[in-house]
Amino acid sequence: MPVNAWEVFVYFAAASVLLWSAGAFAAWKGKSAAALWLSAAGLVVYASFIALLWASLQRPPMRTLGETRLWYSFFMMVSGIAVYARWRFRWILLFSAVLAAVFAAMDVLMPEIHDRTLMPALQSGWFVPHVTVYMFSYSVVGCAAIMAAAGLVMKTDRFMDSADSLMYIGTAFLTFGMLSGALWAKEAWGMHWSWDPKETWAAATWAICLAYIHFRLYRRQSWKAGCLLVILAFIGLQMCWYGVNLLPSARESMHVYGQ
Amino acid sequence: MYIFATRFGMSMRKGSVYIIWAAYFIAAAVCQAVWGDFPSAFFEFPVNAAVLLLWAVSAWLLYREGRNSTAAAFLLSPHTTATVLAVFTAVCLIQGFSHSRLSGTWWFVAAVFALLTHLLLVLLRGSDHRRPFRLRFILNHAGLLLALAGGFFGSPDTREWKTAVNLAGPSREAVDRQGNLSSLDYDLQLAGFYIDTYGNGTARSYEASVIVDGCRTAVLKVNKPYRLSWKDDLYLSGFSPAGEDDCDMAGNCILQVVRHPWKYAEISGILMMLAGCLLLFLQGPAGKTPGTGNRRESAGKDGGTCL
Repeated sequence: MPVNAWEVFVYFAAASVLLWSAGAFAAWKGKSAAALWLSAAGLVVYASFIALLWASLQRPPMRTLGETRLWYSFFMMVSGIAVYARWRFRWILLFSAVLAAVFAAMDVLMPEIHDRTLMPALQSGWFVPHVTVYMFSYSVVGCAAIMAAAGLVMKTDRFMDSADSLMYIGTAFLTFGMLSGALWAKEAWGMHWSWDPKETWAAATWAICLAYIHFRLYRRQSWKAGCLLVILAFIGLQMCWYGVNLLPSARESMHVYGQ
Repeated sequence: MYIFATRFGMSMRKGSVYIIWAAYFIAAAVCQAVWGDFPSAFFEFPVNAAVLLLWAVSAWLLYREGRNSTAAAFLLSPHTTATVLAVFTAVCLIQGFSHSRLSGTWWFVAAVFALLTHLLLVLLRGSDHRRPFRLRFILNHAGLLLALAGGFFGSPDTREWKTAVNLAGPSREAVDRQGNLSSLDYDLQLAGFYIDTYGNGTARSYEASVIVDGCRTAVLKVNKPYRLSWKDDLYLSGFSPAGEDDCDMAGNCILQVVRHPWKYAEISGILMMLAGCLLLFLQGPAGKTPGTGNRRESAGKDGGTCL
Protein backbone atom coordinates (compact mmCIF):
# COMPACT_ATOMS: atom_id res chain seq x y z
CA MET A 1 0.00 0.00 0.00
CA PRO A 2 1.52 3.38 -0.93
CA VAL A 3 2.42 5.76 1.88
CA ASN A 4 0.64 8.57 0.09
CA ALA A 5 -2.43 7.25 -1.67
CA TRP A 6 -2.87 10.61 -3.45
CA GLU A 7 -0.03 9.62 -5.78
CA VAL A 8 -2.27 7.02 -7.44
CA PHE A 9 -5.45 9.11 -7.34
CA VAL A 10 -5.09 10.20 -10.96
CA TYR A 11 -5.43 6.58 -12.16
CA PHE A 12 -8.51 5.89 -10.08
CA ALA A 13 -10.04 9.23 -11.12
CA ALA A 14 -9.34 8.61 -14.82
CA ALA A 15 -10.88 5.12 -14.68
CA SER A 16 -13.93 6.40 -12.80
CA VAL A 17 -14.50 9.35 -15.12
CA LEU A 18 -14.14 7.06 -18.13
CA LEU A 19 -16.77 4.67 -16.75
CA TRP A 20 -19.08 7.55 -15.77
CA SER A 21 -18.75 9.06 -19.27
CA ALA A 22 -19.58 5.69 -20.83
CA GLY A 23 -22.58 5.43 -18.50
CA ALA A 24 -23.75 8.92 -19.44
CA PHE A 25 -23.39 8.07 -23.14
CA ALA A 26 -25.39 4.86 -22.68
CA ALA A 27 -28.11 6.80 -20.83
CA TRP A 28 -28.23 9.36 -23.65
CA LYS A 29 -28.71 6.48 -26.11
CA GLY A 30 -31.52 5.05 -23.97
CA LYS A 31 -29.61 1.97 -22.78
CA SER A 32 -30.68 2.16 -19.15
CA ALA A 33 -29.20 -1.08 -17.84
CA ALA A 34 -25.79 -0.38 -19.37
CA ALA A 35 -25.91 3.20 -18.07
CA LEU A 36 -26.59 2.06 -14.52
CA TRP A 37 -23.97 -0.71 -14.54
CA LEU A 38 -21.23 1.48 -16.04
CA SER A 39 -21.93 4.37 -13.66
CA ALA A 40 -22.05 2.02 -10.69
CA ALA A 41 -18.73 0.45 -11.77
CA GLY A 42 -17.18 3.93 -11.87
CA LEU A 43 -18.52 4.54 -8.40
CA VAL A 44 -16.97 1.30 -7.11
CA VAL A 45 -13.56 2.33 -8.52
CA TYR A 46 -13.88 5.76 -6.93
CA ALA A 47 -15.03 4.27 -3.61
CA SER A 48 -12.02 1.93 -3.69
CA PHE A 49 -9.71 4.93 -3.77
CA ILE A 50 -11.53 6.55 -0.84
CA ALA A 51 -11.17 3.29 1.11
CA LEU A 52 -7.47 3.13 0.17
CA LEU A 53 -6.93 6.73 1.24
CA TRP A 54 -8.78 6.14 4.51
CA ALA A 55 -6.51 3.15 5.24
CA SER A 56 -3.32 4.97 4.27
CA LEU A 57 -4.12 8.11 6.29
CA GLN A 58 -5.29 6.04 9.27
CA ARG A 59 -8.09 8.57 9.79
CA PRO A 60 -11.31 9.46 7.91
CA PRO A 61 -10.37 11.46 4.78
CA MET A 62 -12.66 14.38 5.56
CA ARG A 63 -10.41 17.01 7.02
CA THR A 64 -9.17 19.10 4.13
CA LEU A 65 -11.07 20.79 1.33
CA GLY A 66 -9.43 18.36 -1.13
CA GLU A 67 -10.72 15.42 0.89
CA THR A 68 -14.27 16.79 1.03
CA ARG A 69 -14.15 17.24 -2.77
CA LEU A 70 -13.60 13.49 -3.02
CA TRP A 71 -16.83 12.89 -1.15
CA TYR A 72 -18.69 15.47 -3.21
CA SER A 73 -17.75 13.72 -6.48
CA PHE A 74 -18.71 10.40 -4.96
CA PHE A 75 -22.12 11.55 -3.69
CA MET A 76 -22.78 13.54 -6.86
CA MET A 77 -22.66 10.28 -8.80
CA VAL A 78 -24.68 8.45 -6.11
CA SER A 79 -27.38 11.15 -6.46
CA GLY A 80 -27.17 11.12 -10.27
CA ILE A 81 -27.54 7.34 -10.44
CA ALA A 82 -30.43 7.42 -7.94
CA VAL A 83 -32.24 10.14 -9.92
CA TYR A 84 -31.66 8.28 -13.19
CA ALA A 85 -32.84 4.99 -11.70
CA ARG A 86 -36.00 6.69 -10.39
CA TRP A 87 -36.95 9.13 -13.19
CA ARG A 88 -34.89 8.05 -16.23
CA PHE A 89 -33.92 11.58 -17.29
CA ARG A 90 -31.38 10.65 -19.94
CA TRP A 91 -29.26 13.79 -19.42
CA ILE A 92 -28.90 13.64 -15.64
CA LEU A 93 -25.97 11.18 -15.67
CA LEU A 94 -24.11 13.42 -18.09
CA PHE A 95 -24.53 16.47 -15.85
CA SER A 96 -23.66 14.64 -12.63
CA ALA A 97 -20.65 12.97 -14.33
CA VAL A 98 -19.39 16.37 -15.54
CA LEU A 99 -19.75 17.88 -12.04
CA ALA A 100 -18.12 14.85 -10.38
CA ALA A 101 -15.28 14.93 -12.96
CA VAL A 102 -14.69 18.66 -12.36
CA PHE A 103 -14.26 18.11 -8.62
CA ALA A 104 -12.07 15.03 -9.18
CA ALA A 105 -9.95 17.06 -11.63
CA MET A 106 -9.55 19.81 -9.05
CA ASP A 107 -8.10 17.23 -6.66
CA VAL A 108 -5.68 16.05 -9.36
CA LEU A 109 -4.61 19.56 -10.39
CA MET A 110 -4.55 21.20 -6.98
CA PRO A 111 -2.93 18.78 -4.54
CA GLU A 112 -3.15 20.28 -1.07
CA ILE A 113 -2.04 19.38 2.39
CA HIS A 114 -2.28 15.62 2.55
CA ASP A 115 -0.98 14.66 5.96
CA ARG A 116 -2.13 12.02 8.39
CA THR A 117 -2.69 14.26 11.37
CA LEU A 118 -6.15 14.73 12.76
CA MET A 119 -6.42 17.39 15.41
CA PRO A 120 -8.10 16.45 18.70
CA ALA A 121 -11.18 18.61 17.97
CA LEU A 122 -12.00 16.39 14.98
CA GLN A 123 -11.67 13.15 16.94
CA SER A 124 -15.33 12.67 17.63
CA GLY A 125 -18.00 10.15 16.76
CA TRP A 126 -19.83 13.00 15.04
CA PHE A 127 -17.02 13.66 12.53
CA VAL A 128 -17.87 11.02 9.91
CA PRO A 129 -21.69 11.32 9.95
CA HIS A 130 -21.57 15.13 10.05
CA VAL A 131 -19.27 15.50 7.05
CA THR A 132 -20.64 12.67 4.88
CA VAL A 133 -24.26 13.70 5.44
CA TYR A 134 -23.39 17.29 4.53
CA MET A 135 -21.55 16.22 1.39
CA PHE A 136 -24.46 13.99 0.39
CA SER A 137 -26.94 16.86 0.89
CA TYR A 138 -24.67 19.17 -1.17
CA SER A 139 -24.72 16.70 -4.05
CA VAL A 140 -28.49 16.10 -3.87
CA VAL A 141 -29.19 19.83 -3.88
CA GLY A 142 -26.65 20.05 -6.74
CA CYS A 143 -28.80 17.57 -8.70
CA ALA A 144 -31.93 19.59 -7.86
CA ALA A 145 -30.15 22.72 -9.13
CA ILE A 146 -29.37 20.91 -12.40
CA MET A 147 -33.11 20.09 -12.70
CA ALA A 148 -34.09 23.68 -11.93
CA ALA A 149 -31.60 25.09 -14.44
CA ALA A 150 -32.81 22.61 -17.07
CA GLY A 151 -36.39 23.68 -16.39
CA LEU A 152 -35.51 27.36 -16.81
CA VAL A 153 -33.51 26.74 -20.00
CA MET A 154 -36.15 24.48 -21.56
CA LYS A 155 -38.97 26.71 -20.23
CA THR A 156 -40.84 23.76 -18.75
CA ASP A 157 -42.04 22.81 -15.28
CA ARG A 158 -41.88 19.07 -15.93
CA PHE A 159 -38.74 18.67 -13.80
CA MET A 160 -40.31 20.29 -10.77
CA ASP A 161 -41.66 17.07 -9.25
CA SER A 162 -38.16 15.58 -9.26
CA ALA A 163 -36.69 18.86 -8.01
CA ASP A 164 -39.22 18.74 -5.16
CA SER A 165 -38.23 15.19 -4.22
CA LEU A 166 -34.54 16.04 -4.36
CA MET A 167 -34.99 19.20 -2.32
CA TYR A 168 -36.89 17.28 0.38
CA ILE A 169 -34.09 14.70 0.53
CA GLY A 170 -31.42 17.43 0.41
CA THR A 171 -33.14 19.46 3.13
CA ALA A 172 -33.59 16.38 5.33
CA PHE A 173 -29.86 15.59 5.08
CA LEU A 174 -28.89 19.23 5.45
CA THR A 175 -30.99 19.38 8.62
CA PHE A 176 -29.34 16.23 9.95
CA GLY A 177 -25.90 17.65 9.12
CA MET A 178 -26.67 20.93 10.85
CA LEU A 179 -28.18 19.33 13.95
CA SER A 180 -25.40 16.76 14.29
CA GLY A 181 -23.01 19.71 14.03
CA ALA A 182 -24.93 21.48 16.81
CA LEU A 183 -24.71 18.44 19.10
CA TRP A 184 -21.01 18.08 18.33
CA ALA A 185 -20.43 21.80 18.94
CA LYS A 186 -21.98 21.42 22.39
CA GLU A 187 -19.49 18.65 23.22
CA ALA A 188 -16.53 20.52 21.78
CA TRP A 189 -17.15 24.21 22.48
CA GLY A 190 -19.95 24.33 25.03
CA MET A 191 -22.68 25.82 22.84
CA HIS A 192 -24.99 24.28 20.26
CA TRP A 193 -24.82 27.39 18.12
CA SER A 194 -22.48 30.37 18.21
CA TRP A 195 -23.11 32.19 14.88
CA ASP A 196 -19.68 31.23 13.59
CA PRO A 197 -19.37 32.26 9.87
CA LYS A 198 -19.79 28.63 8.74
CA GLU A 199 -22.83 28.17 10.98
CA THR A 200 -24.32 31.44 9.76
CA TRP A 201 -24.03 30.36 6.12
CA ALA A 202 -25.45 26.93 6.99
CA ALA A 203 -28.45 28.65 8.63
CA ALA A 204 -28.94 30.94 5.60
CA THR A 205 -28.85 27.98 3.20
CA TRP A 206 -31.19 25.96 5.37
CA ALA A 207 -33.62 28.90 5.50
CA ILE A 208 -33.57 29.09 1.67
CA CYS A 209 -34.36 25.36 1.47
CA LEU A 210 -37.24 25.83 3.91
CA ALA A 211 -38.43 28.83 1.88
CA TYR A 212 -38.45 26.63 -1.24
CA ILE A 213 -40.47 23.88 0.45
CA HIS A 214 -43.03 26.35 1.84
CA PHE A 215 -43.14 28.26 -1.44
CA ARG A 216 -43.96 25.07 -3.35
CA LEU A 217 -46.76 24.28 -0.91
CA TYR A 218 -48.46 27.63 -1.45
CA ARG A 219 -47.46 28.77 -4.93
CA ARG A 220 -46.97 25.69 -7.09
CA GLN A 221 -47.90 27.61 -10.20
CA SER A 222 -44.91 30.00 -9.84
CA TRP A 223 -42.44 27.30 -10.80
CA LYS A 224 -39.83 29.73 -12.20
CA ALA A 225 -39.47 31.40 -8.80
CA GLY A 226 -39.16 27.89 -7.33
CA CYS A 227 -36.31 27.13 -9.75
CA LEU A 228 -34.54 30.32 -8.72
CA LEU A 229 -34.85 29.36 -5.04
CA VAL A 230 -33.24 25.96 -5.77
CA ILE A 231 -30.36 27.65 -7.58
CA LEU A 232 -30.04 30.13 -4.70
CA ALA A 233 -29.90 27.21 -2.23
CA PHE A 234 -27.15 25.62 -4.36
CA ILE A 235 -25.15 28.87 -4.33
CA GLY A 236 -25.67 29.05 -0.55
CA LEU A 237 -24.25 25.55 -0.21
CA GLN A 238 -21.15 26.47 -2.20
CA MET A 239 -20.63 29.46 0.10
CA CYS A 240 -21.13 27.22 3.11
CA TRP A 241 -18.67 24.61 1.84
CA TYR A 242 -15.71 26.65 0.55
CA GLY A 243 -16.91 30.19 -0.34
CA VAL A 244 -16.92 31.19 3.32
CA ASN A 245 -13.15 30.56 3.44
CA LEU A 246 -12.67 33.46 1.01
CA LEU A 247 -14.48 35.97 3.22
CA PRO A 248 -12.64 38.11 5.80
CA SER A 249 -14.99 36.80 8.50
CA ALA A 250 -13.52 33.28 7.99
CA ARG A 251 -10.47 34.36 9.99
CA GLU A 252 -12.66 34.26 13.11
CA SER A 253 -14.16 30.88 12.25
CA MET A 254 -13.77 27.92 14.57
CA HIS A 255 -14.32 25.64 11.56
CA VAL A 256 -10.89 26.11 9.99
CA TYR A 257 -9.08 22.78 10.14
CA GLY A 258 -6.77 23.11 7.17
CA GLN A 259 -7.57 23.74 3.54
CA MET B 1 -56.83 42.09 -4.42
CA TYR B 2 -57.49 39.74 -1.52
CA ILE B 3 -54.73 37.20 -1.75
CA PHE B 4 -55.61 34.76 0.96
CA ALA B 5 -58.65 33.84 2.97
CA THR B 6 -58.30 31.42 5.81
CA ARG B 7 -60.74 28.71 6.71
CA PHE B 8 -62.03 30.96 9.49
CA GLY B 9 -63.52 33.31 6.97
CA MET B 10 -61.30 36.31 7.46
CA SER B 11 -59.04 37.91 4.93
CA MET B 12 -56.26 40.41 4.72
CA ARG B 13 -54.59 42.24 1.90
CA LYS B 14 -51.17 40.93 0.87
CA GLY B 15 -49.80 44.49 0.82
CA SER B 16 -51.06 45.15 4.35
CA VAL B 17 -49.14 42.14 5.69
CA TYR B 18 -45.88 43.37 4.20
CA ILE B 19 -46.50 46.96 5.35
CA ILE B 20 -47.08 45.84 8.94
CA TRP B 21 -43.95 43.70 8.93
CA ALA B 22 -41.94 46.51 7.36
CA ALA B 23 -43.14 48.88 10.12
CA TYR B 24 -42.18 46.26 12.75
CA PHE B 25 -38.64 45.91 11.44
CA ILE B 26 -38.23 49.66 10.96
CA ALA B 27 -39.25 50.08 14.62
CA ALA B 28 -36.55 47.55 15.57
CA ALA B 29 -33.99 49.46 13.49
CA VAL B 30 -35.01 52.72 15.21
CA CYS B 31 -34.59 51.09 18.64
CA GLN B 32 -31.12 49.93 17.55
CA ALA B 33 -30.21 53.44 16.43
CA VAL B 34 -31.51 55.07 19.61
CA TRP B 35 -30.49 52.60 22.34
CA GLY B 36 -27.76 50.49 20.77
CA ASP B 37 -27.76 46.71 21.29
CA PHE B 38 -30.66 44.85 22.88
CA PRO B 39 -30.43 44.93 26.70
CA SER B 40 -30.33 41.15 27.11
CA ALA B 41 -28.97 41.37 30.69
CA PHE B 42 -32.35 42.77 31.77
CA PHE B 43 -33.99 39.50 30.66
CA GLU B 44 -32.05 37.20 32.99
CA PHE B 45 -34.04 34.60 34.93
CA PRO B 46 -36.79 34.99 36.15
CA VAL B 47 -37.68 37.84 33.75
CA ASN B 48 -37.08 35.67 30.65
CA ALA B 49 -39.22 32.85 32.08
CA ALA B 50 -42.04 35.31 32.84
CA VAL B 51 -41.84 36.80 29.34
CA LEU B 52 -41.81 33.30 27.82
CA LEU B 53 -44.91 32.33 29.81
CA LEU B 54 -46.72 35.56 28.94
CA TRP B 55 -45.85 35.18 25.25
CA ALA B 56 -46.93 31.54 25.04
CA VAL B 57 -50.21 32.16 26.90
CA SER B 58 -50.96 35.23 24.73
CA ALA B 59 -50.39 33.23 21.56
CA TRP B 60 -52.56 30.40 22.85
CA LEU B 61 -55.36 32.83 23.82
CA LEU B 62 -55.11 34.57 20.46
CA TYR B 63 -55.48 31.24 18.71
CA ARG B 64 -58.25 29.91 21.01
CA GLU B 65 -60.34 33.04 21.46
CA GLY B 66 -59.35 35.31 18.60
CA ARG B 67 -58.83 32.99 15.69
CA ASN B 68 -61.24 35.03 13.58
CA SER B 69 -59.41 38.25 14.36
CA THR B 70 -57.29 40.23 11.93
CA ALA B 71 -54.28 39.73 14.22
CA ALA B 72 -54.54 35.94 13.90
CA ALA B 73 -55.04 36.20 10.14
CA PHE B 74 -51.98 38.39 9.90
CA LEU B 75 -49.74 36.19 12.03
CA LEU B 76 -50.88 32.96 10.36
CA SER B 77 -50.70 34.22 6.80
CA PRO B 78 -48.43 32.52 4.24
CA HIS B 79 -47.04 36.00 3.56
CA THR B 80 -45.91 36.10 7.17
CA THR B 81 -44.17 32.75 6.56
CA ALA B 82 -42.49 34.29 3.52
CA THR B 83 -41.56 37.45 5.43
CA VAL B 84 -40.07 35.77 8.50
CA LEU B 85 -38.09 33.30 6.39
CA ALA B 86 -36.86 36.08 4.09
CA VAL B 87 -35.87 38.33 6.99
CA PHE B 88 -34.16 35.45 8.82
CA THR B 89 -32.22 34.60 5.64
CA ALA B 90 -31.33 38.28 5.15
CA VAL B 91 -30.04 38.55 8.72
CA CYS B 92 -27.90 35.44 8.18
CA LEU B 93 -26.58 36.78 4.87
CA ILE B 94 -25.67 40.17 6.33
CA GLN B 95 -23.88 38.47 9.21
CA GLY B 96 -22.32 35.95 6.81
CA PHE B 97 -20.82 38.64 4.60
CA SER B 98 -19.65 40.95 7.37
CA HIS B 99 -17.60 40.85 10.55
CA SER B 100 -20.56 42.15 12.56
CA ARG B 101 -22.25 40.03 15.21
CA LEU B 102 -25.94 40.74 14.80
CA SER B 103 -27.19 38.33 17.45
CA GLY B 104 -27.32 41.09 20.08
CA THR B 105 -29.06 43.69 17.94
CA TRP B 106 -32.69 44.79 18.16
CA TRP B 107 -33.51 43.72 14.66
CA PHE B 108 -32.01 40.25 15.10
CA VAL B 109 -34.11 39.90 18.24
CA ALA B 110 -37.14 41.23 16.31
CA ALA B 111 -36.56 38.75 13.47
CA VAL B 112 -36.22 35.73 15.79
CA PHE B 113 -39.19 36.83 17.91
CA ALA B 114 -41.36 37.17 14.77
CA LEU B 115 -40.23 33.73 13.58
CA LEU B 116 -40.98 32.18 17.00
CA THR B 117 -44.44 33.77 17.21
CA HIS B 118 -45.34 32.62 13.71
CA LEU B 119 -44.02 29.13 14.45
CA LEU B 120 -46.02 28.86 17.67
CA LEU B 121 -49.28 29.92 16.03
CA VAL B 122 -48.73 27.68 12.99
CA LEU B 123 -48.00 24.81 15.38
CA LEU B 124 -51.18 25.47 17.36
CA ARG B 125 -53.22 25.55 14.17
CA GLY B 126 -51.51 22.52 12.65
CA SER B 127 -51.88 20.40 15.79
CA ASP B 128 -55.57 21.22 15.94
CA HIS B 129 -56.59 19.75 12.59
CA ARG B 130 -56.39 16.54 10.66
CA ARG B 131 -53.66 16.87 8.08
CA PRO B 132 -51.31 14.72 6.02
CA PHE B 133 -47.99 13.94 7.72
CA ARG B 134 -49.17 15.39 11.05
CA LEU B 135 -46.44 13.75 13.13
CA ARG B 136 -43.75 15.10 10.79
CA PHE B 137 -45.29 18.55 10.90
CA ILE B 138 -45.38 18.56 14.72
CA LEU B 139 -41.84 17.18 15.14
CA ASN B 140 -40.31 19.69 12.74
CA HIS B 141 -42.20 22.75 13.89
CA ALA B 142 -42.25 21.98 17.63
CA GLY B 143 -38.60 20.93 17.49
CA LEU B 144 -37.53 24.14 15.81
CA LEU B 145 -39.69 26.14 18.22
CA LEU B 146 -38.14 24.46 21.28
CA ALA B 147 -34.56 24.74 20.02
CA LEU B 148 -34.96 28.37 18.95
CA ALA B 149 -36.92 29.41 22.04
CA GLY B 150 -34.35 27.69 24.29
CA GLY B 151 -31.55 29.63 22.61
CA PHE B 152 -33.48 32.89 22.43
CA PHE B 153 -35.00 33.07 25.92
CA GLY B 154 -32.08 31.22 27.51
CA SER B 155 -29.41 33.46 26.04
CA PRO B 156 -29.39 35.98 28.98
CA ASP B 157 -28.72 33.09 31.42
CA THR B 158 -25.87 31.60 29.40
CA ARG B 159 -22.37 32.25 30.74
CA GLU B 160 -18.85 31.23 29.77
CA TRP B 161 -15.69 31.56 31.82
CA LYS B 162 -12.14 30.60 31.02
CA THR B 163 -9.61 29.77 33.68
CA ALA B 164 -6.02 28.54 33.75
CA VAL B 165 -5.31 25.74 36.23
CA ASN B 166 -2.00 24.20 37.25
CA LEU B 167 -0.43 21.81 39.74
CA ALA B 168 0.46 24.57 42.20
CA GLY B 169 -2.92 24.84 43.89
CA PRO B 170 -6.68 25.29 43.50
CA SER B 171 -8.05 28.34 41.78
CA ARG B 172 -11.44 30.03 41.44
CA GLU B 173 -10.44 33.00 39.34
CA ALA B 174 -11.81 33.10 35.81
CA VAL B 175 -12.41 35.54 32.97
CA ASP B 176 -15.84 35.83 31.35
CA ARG B 177 -16.61 36.42 27.66
CA GLN B 178 -16.37 40.19 28.11
CA GLY B 179 -12.94 39.89 29.71
CA ASN B 180 -14.14 40.63 33.27
CA LEU B 181 -12.47 38.84 36.16
CA SER B 182 -14.91 36.81 38.25
CA SER B 183 -14.99 34.05 40.82
CA LEU B 184 -16.22 30.57 39.93
CA ASP B 185 -18.54 28.47 42.10
CA TYR B 186 -15.91 25.70 42.07
CA ASP B 187 -12.29 25.24 43.19
CA LEU B 188 -10.34 23.76 40.27
CA GLN B 189 -6.87 22.27 40.43
CA LEU B 190 -4.85 20.37 37.83
CA ALA B 191 -3.92 16.86 39.01
CA GLY B 192 -2.34 15.49 35.85
CA PHE B 193 -1.94 16.05 32.13
CA TYR B 194 -1.22 13.53 29.38
CA ILE B 195 -0.52 14.20 25.73
CA ASP B 196 -0.06 11.90 22.74
CA THR B 197 1.64 13.39 19.69
CA TYR B 198 2.17 12.52 16.03
CA GLY B 199 5.67 12.08 14.65
CA ASN B 200 5.82 15.74 13.62
CA GLY B 201 5.07 16.90 17.14
CA THR B 202 1.46 17.99 16.68
CA ALA B 203 -1.03 16.84 19.28
CA ARG B 204 -3.00 13.69 18.50
CA SER B 205 -4.94 13.83 21.75
CA TYR B 206 -4.54 15.16 25.26
CA GLU B 207 -6.36 14.84 28.53
CA ALA B 208 -6.29 16.50 31.92
CA SER B 209 -7.27 15.29 35.37
CA VAL B 210 -8.77 18.13 37.37
CA ILE B 211 -9.75 18.08 41.04
CA VAL B 212 -13.06 19.86 41.61
CA ASP B 213 -13.69 21.30 45.08
CA GLY B 214 -10.94 19.12 46.50
CA CYS B 215 -13.02 15.94 46.31
CA ARG B 216 -14.14 15.07 42.76
CA THR B 217 -11.74 14.17 39.94
CA ALA B 218 -12.81 15.18 36.45
CA VAL B 219 -11.06 13.59 33.47
CA LEU B 220 -11.29 16.01 30.56
CA LYS B 221 -10.55 15.55 26.87
CA VAL B 222 -11.42 17.60 23.81
CA ASN B 223 -15.03 16.66 22.91
CA LYS B 224 -15.45 15.06 26.35
CA PRO B 225 -16.70 17.65 28.86
CA TYR B 226 -17.36 16.97 32.53
CA ARG B 227 -20.76 17.66 34.10
CA LEU B 228 -20.28 19.91 37.12
CA SER B 229 -23.98 20.36 37.85
CA TRP B 230 -27.32 20.33 36.00
CA LYS B 231 -26.49 23.70 34.48
CA ASP B 232 -22.67 23.82 34.43
CA ASP B 233 -20.19 21.83 32.32
CA LEU B 234 -16.40 21.87 32.35
CA TYR B 235 -14.40 21.76 29.10
CA LEU B 236 -10.72 21.32 28.29
CA SER B 237 -9.99 24.26 26.03
CA GLY B 238 -6.21 24.09 25.59
CA PHE B 239 -2.86 23.91 27.33
CA SER B 240 0.54 25.51 27.42
CA PRO B 241 3.56 23.17 27.72
CA ALA B 242 5.64 23.45 30.85
CA GLY B 243 8.83 23.88 28.86
CA GLU B 244 10.82 22.87 25.81
CA ASP B 245 12.05 19.65 27.41
CA ASP B 246 8.82 18.78 29.06
CA CYS B 247 6.28 18.66 26.27
CA ASP B 248 4.24 15.88 27.82
CA MET B 249 3.43 17.99 30.84
CA ALA B 250 1.33 21.14 30.85
CA GLY B 251 2.33 24.29 32.65
CA ASN B 252 -1.24 25.50 32.55
CA CYS B 253 -4.43 23.91 31.31
CA ILE B 254 -7.05 26.26 29.96
CA LEU B 255 -10.47 25.18 31.17
CA GLN B 256 -13.83 26.54 30.17
CA VAL B 257 -16.85 26.55 32.45
CA VAL B 258 -20.14 26.86 30.57
CA ARG B 259 -23.39 27.68 32.37
CA HIS B 260 -26.21 26.74 30.05
CA PRO B 261 -29.39 26.04 32.03
CA TRP B 262 -31.68 26.12 28.97
CA LYS B 263 -29.71 23.44 27.12
CA TYR B 264 -32.37 20.81 27.85
CA ALA B 265 -34.96 22.71 25.79
CA GLU B 266 -32.43 23.05 22.97
CA ILE B 267 -31.47 19.36 23.05
CA SER B 268 -35.14 18.28 23.15
CA GLY B 269 -35.84 20.50 20.13
CA ILE B 270 -32.83 19.16 18.25
CA LEU B 271 -33.84 15.53 18.90
CA MET B 272 -37.40 16.25 17.73
CA MET B 273 -36.07 17.87 14.57
CA LEU B 274 -33.77 14.90 13.94
CA ALA B 275 -36.83 12.63 14.05
CA GLY B 276 -38.72 15.13 11.88
CA CYS B 277 -35.98 15.26 9.23
CA LEU B 278 -35.94 11.45 9.12
CA LEU B 279 -39.67 11.56 8.32
CA LEU B 280 -39.05 14.34 5.80
CA PHE B 281 -36.61 12.01 4.03
CA LEU B 282 -38.86 8.94 4.24
CA GLN B 283 -42.15 10.60 3.32
CA GLY B 284 -40.90 13.06 0.72
CA PRO B 285 -42.85 15.96 -0.79
CA ALA B 286 -46.20 16.60 0.80
CA GLY B 287 -49.34 18.42 -0.19
CA LYS B 288 -49.64 17.15 -3.75
CA THR B 289 -51.10 14.12 -5.41
CA PRO B 290 -48.17 12.02 -6.64
CA GLY B 291 -47.63 12.31 -10.36
CA THR B 292 -50.11 15.11 -11.01
CA GLY B 293 -48.39 18.09 -9.48
CA ASN B 294 -51.73 19.18 -7.96
CA ARG B 295 -52.15 19.88 -4.29
CA ARG B 296 -54.35 17.59 -2.27
CA GLU B 297 -57.56 19.20 -1.09
CA SER B 298 -56.97 18.12 2.48
CA ALA B 299 -53.63 19.93 2.58
CA GLY B 300 -54.97 23.09 1.02
CA LYS B 301 -58.07 23.51 3.13
CA ASP B 302 -56.56 24.44 6.44
CA GLY B 303 -53.90 26.50 4.78
CA GLY B 304 -51.27 24.77 6.89
CA THR B 305 -47.78 23.79 5.95
CA CYS B 306 -46.87 20.13 5.61
CA LEU B 307 -43.21 20.33 6.38
